[in-house]
Amino acid sequence: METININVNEREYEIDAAYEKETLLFVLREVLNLTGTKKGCGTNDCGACKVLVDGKPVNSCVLMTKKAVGKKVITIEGIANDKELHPIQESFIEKGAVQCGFCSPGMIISAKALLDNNSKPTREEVREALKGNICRCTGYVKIVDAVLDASKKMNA
Amino acid sequence: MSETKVAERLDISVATEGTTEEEYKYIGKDFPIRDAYAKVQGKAIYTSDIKMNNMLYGKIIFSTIAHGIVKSIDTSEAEKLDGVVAISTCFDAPDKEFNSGLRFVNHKMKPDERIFNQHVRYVGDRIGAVVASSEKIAEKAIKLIKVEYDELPHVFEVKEALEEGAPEIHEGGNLLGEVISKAGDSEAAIAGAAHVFEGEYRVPAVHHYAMEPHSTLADWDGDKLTLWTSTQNLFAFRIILSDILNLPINKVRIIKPTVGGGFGGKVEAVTEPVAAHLAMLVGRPVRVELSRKECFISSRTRHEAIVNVRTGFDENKKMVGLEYHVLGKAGAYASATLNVLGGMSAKAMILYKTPNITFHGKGVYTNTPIGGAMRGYGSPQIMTGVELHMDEVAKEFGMDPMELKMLNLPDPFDAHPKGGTLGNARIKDCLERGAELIDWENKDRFDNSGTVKRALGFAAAVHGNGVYPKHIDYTVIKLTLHEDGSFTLNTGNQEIGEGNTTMLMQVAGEVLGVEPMSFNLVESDTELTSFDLGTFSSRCTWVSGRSAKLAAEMMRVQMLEKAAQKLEKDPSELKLLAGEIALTDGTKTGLTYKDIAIYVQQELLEGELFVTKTYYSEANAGSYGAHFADVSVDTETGEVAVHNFAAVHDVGKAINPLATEGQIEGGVQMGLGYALTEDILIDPETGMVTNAVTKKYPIFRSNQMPDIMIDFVEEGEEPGPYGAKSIGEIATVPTGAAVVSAINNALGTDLRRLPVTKERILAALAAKQ
Repeated sequence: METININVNEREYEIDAAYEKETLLFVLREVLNLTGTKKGCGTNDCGACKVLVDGKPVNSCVLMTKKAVGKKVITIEGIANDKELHPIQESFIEKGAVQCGFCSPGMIISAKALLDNNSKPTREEVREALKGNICRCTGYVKIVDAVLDASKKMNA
Repeated sequence: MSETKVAERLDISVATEGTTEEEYKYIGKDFPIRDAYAKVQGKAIYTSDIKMNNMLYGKIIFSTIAHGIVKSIDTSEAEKLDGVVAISTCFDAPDKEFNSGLRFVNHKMKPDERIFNQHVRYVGDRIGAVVASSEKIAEKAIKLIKVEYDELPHVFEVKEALEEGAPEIHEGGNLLGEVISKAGDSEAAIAGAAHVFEGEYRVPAVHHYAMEPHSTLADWDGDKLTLWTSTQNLFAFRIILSDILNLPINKVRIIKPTVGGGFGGKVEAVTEPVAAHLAMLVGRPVRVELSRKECFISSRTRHEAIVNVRTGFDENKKMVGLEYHVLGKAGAYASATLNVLGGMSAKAMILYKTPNITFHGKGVYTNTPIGGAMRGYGSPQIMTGVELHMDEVAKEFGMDPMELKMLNLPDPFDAHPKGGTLGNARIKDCLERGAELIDWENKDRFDNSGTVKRALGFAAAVHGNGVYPKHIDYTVIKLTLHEDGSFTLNTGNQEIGEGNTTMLMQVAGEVLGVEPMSFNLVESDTELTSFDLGTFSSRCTWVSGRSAKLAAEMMRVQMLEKAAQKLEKDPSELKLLAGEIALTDGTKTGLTYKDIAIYVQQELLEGELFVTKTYYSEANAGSYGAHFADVSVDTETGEVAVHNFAAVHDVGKAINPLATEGQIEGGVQMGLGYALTEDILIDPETGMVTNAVTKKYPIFRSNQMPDIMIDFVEEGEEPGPYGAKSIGEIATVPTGAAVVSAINNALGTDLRRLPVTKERILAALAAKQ
C-alpha cells in the first residue's frame, strides 16, 4: 500500500495514499477518528470544520488532504496543553460562550489564529475574525466576550 | 414510607418550606452549560461521531419533481457498484403512514407520509435510499439510479392551492384543516367600533439551521432496534418507529447523544425512519446523515404564512376587537401544521387586551418543503403581523406606538378572554425598561438629513410555558443517593444544547444543598429514563424544572426521615446542610449524606435511597418580552445596519442568568435573519429550493450583530420552579417586528413582508415617490 504522512497535533500519521484525494475533514473524522472537528455545511461557509494549517485557520471540508501533506495541522484536540485547557477554552466555558457546542471547536480555532497574530484585539477585530464561523445559539455575544477575556489572560 | 405518603407530607410541610431569595445558593447564579468542558475540547460525542463495527452509510434518494407518481426506479447500474450493499425504494419499504411530529400514543395528528413515498409531493420527497460502505459510494450509486415519474400538476402558493380546480396534493383537497378559536364576539365589536383597521402581513419559510445536521445511527440485532439520533422528541420517535416497523415498543430503544442544536427542527422524525428501516434491511448498523443542502430541502421549515389582522378601536383608542386570519403553508405533508396553528390561536388570546378575539387559521398543502415546529411555534408569525399592524394604527391615530400599546396591553392578572387570568403578565414592565435602555423618549434624535436614515422600532410579544391545556405534559425525574453522599439525577428531559439539564441540576442542588455540577446526570434514553414529552413548547424550565424541584423535595423528606430514625429525633427538628444533617438552628449532628446512604443500605436493608417524581403540568403562563431595534437604512442601496438592540424579558426568575442571556442573544440573531435576510426561495417553475446552500442563505455573522442590551423582569410566576418561566422560544419572537418597525419608522414606509430585503426596501421607496 502506498502511503502518505500527515502531521496532526504534533504527531505523524501514516495513511493510505488514496486518501490524499479526500478532504482533510474526512481524513480527520473518518480515518484518524479525530471527531472534534465538525461538519456543518461541507461548502466552505460555516467554519465548524476549521483547523489550523501552518497556523492559518482553514475550512477542512474543502481542503484536499494532499494539500496538508508536509504541513502542520492543529485540530481542536491539539489546543489544550497536556491536561491544561488553553485559556481560550477556559474563557469559552467561563463566559458562557458554549451552548450546543457544535460550532465551538471551529470558533476556538479561529480565535486562536486571531490571538496568535494579534494578542490584544479590539471587540470589532474579534467580530471580524469570527465572521467565517456561524453560531446559531449564542448570537456570538458571549463568544466575543470569551475571546477578549482570553486575550486578557494570555497577556497577563 | 410510600411515595404517596411522602407526597402528602410534602404538600403540607415541605412545599411551603424553603430558603428565601437572598439565601439562594445556586438559583439566580451563572453556570456554564454542564458539558462545556467536553465541548471546548471536541470531546462531546454527537451522533455522527459514533462509529460501530460493520457500520454502513445510508443516503436518501429524493424526488426531483414537485408532484407526481413514481412509475419505476431502475437500480440495476447502481447495484453493480462495488460497495453498494442494499437499495430500498417506495416499492419495497414498509408503507404505513405516519405523522413525523407525533408526540405520544393516540396523539391526533394526521398520518400522511411514508418512509418512502411513491406519490411524491415536493422536490425533496424521499423515494428510496442506498446503503453502502461509504457515503461517497452511496452518493455515486444514487447518480446511477434512473427514476421515471408520471408528473402531476403542482401548486406552490397557499392562495392558489385553495382555488377551485387547484391540483389536489392529498385526497380530499389542499385544505389540511382549520383552527378556530373565539372569545367574545369580535365581528360585532369591530362592526360597531369607531375605528377599524385591517392589514395583510407576510412572513417567510426559514431554516432552523441547527449547526449539527440531522443524523441518525440505527442498529438492529435481530430482536431489538437501537437508534442514536439527534432529536428533541425521543419518546415519540419510539412510538412512530414501533408503529411503522411493526415492533413492540419495548423493542425500540432511542438514545440521544449530545445534540448540536434543534430549534424545533429535531422535534420531527426525518432521518430516523429511514435509518431504522435500512438497519433492519441489512442487519448491520447504518448511519444516515443529511448534508446541509438536504437539511434545507428535506427537513422542516418555519411555516410561511399570510397573516391578516383586523382591529376595532373605540374613540379613546382602546381596542374593542381583534381578529387574526392566517393561511399557514403546510407544504407537502401535514406534519405539525395544525398544532402550530393551534399554538397561534392560544397566543392570539393573550397579547392585546380585549374581550373580543377571533383566531381563524387554515393549514394549506402545497408542493413545497414541509412546514414544521420551529422556535416560537407560530408566535413569530402572528406577533409580527399584529405588531406591524399596531404601528400602522398608531400612525393613523397620530400617536406614539408606545402610548397606543401601553393603553392596550394587559396588566398582571388581567382576565384571560376565555376565562381565568393571564397570570403575572409583565409586558408593560418589559416595554418600560426597554424604552429606557434604548432611550425611546428621544427617538427622534437622529440626523436624517442625508440619504442614510436612522430610527428606532420596537415590538411586544408573548409565548407560552408548556402545552397545558392542549394535551398531556409530563416529565419524570428520579434522584438516587449514593454511598458516598453523591446523587444521580435521571430524566428523560432532553438537552439539545440550551442548558436545560444544567437548570435541573441547579434546582435540585438548591433543594438538597449540594453543588449542582456534582450531580451525575443520566438523560434521554428511552430504555434508562422515563417518559418525557420532549424539548419543545417552552416546557423544560416550567415543567421539568418544577419536576426536579418536587423530586428533590421528596428526596429531602426521605433523607430527613431516615436521619431522624437514626438519630432518634423528629424529622421536623432536622435540616439538610451542604452534605450534612443539622438541627434546624444549624448545629451539626455529625451525620452526613453518606451516613444516610449507608444506614439505608446496611441497617434498614432498604437498598438505595431513591425517589421518582412524575410531574404532570396543569398550568400555563405567558412569557412576555419586548425588543427594541436601532436601525439605519441607506436609501440609495437599501442596505440595513442594526446598530443597537435592547431585549427585555418577563422570565419570572432567571435560574441561570448567563444561560438566559445566551438564549436571548441567540434568539435575537435568529430574529434578525427572519427580519432581514433568511428566506427559503422556491423556483416558481420547478418548485426546487434555489438557495439551499449556506452562501445563498445569509445567516447573521459576528460582524453584523448589533450590541444587545438585556434586562429581565423577575416578578415570579407560580408554579414555575422558584417562579421561573420559559425563555428559549420567546427570545426570538419579537425581533422580526421590532426591526421592521424601525425600518418603517426610518423610511416612512409600511413594509409588511419579511424578510425586508434591499430589493423590497428600494421598491417601497420607489412606490412612495
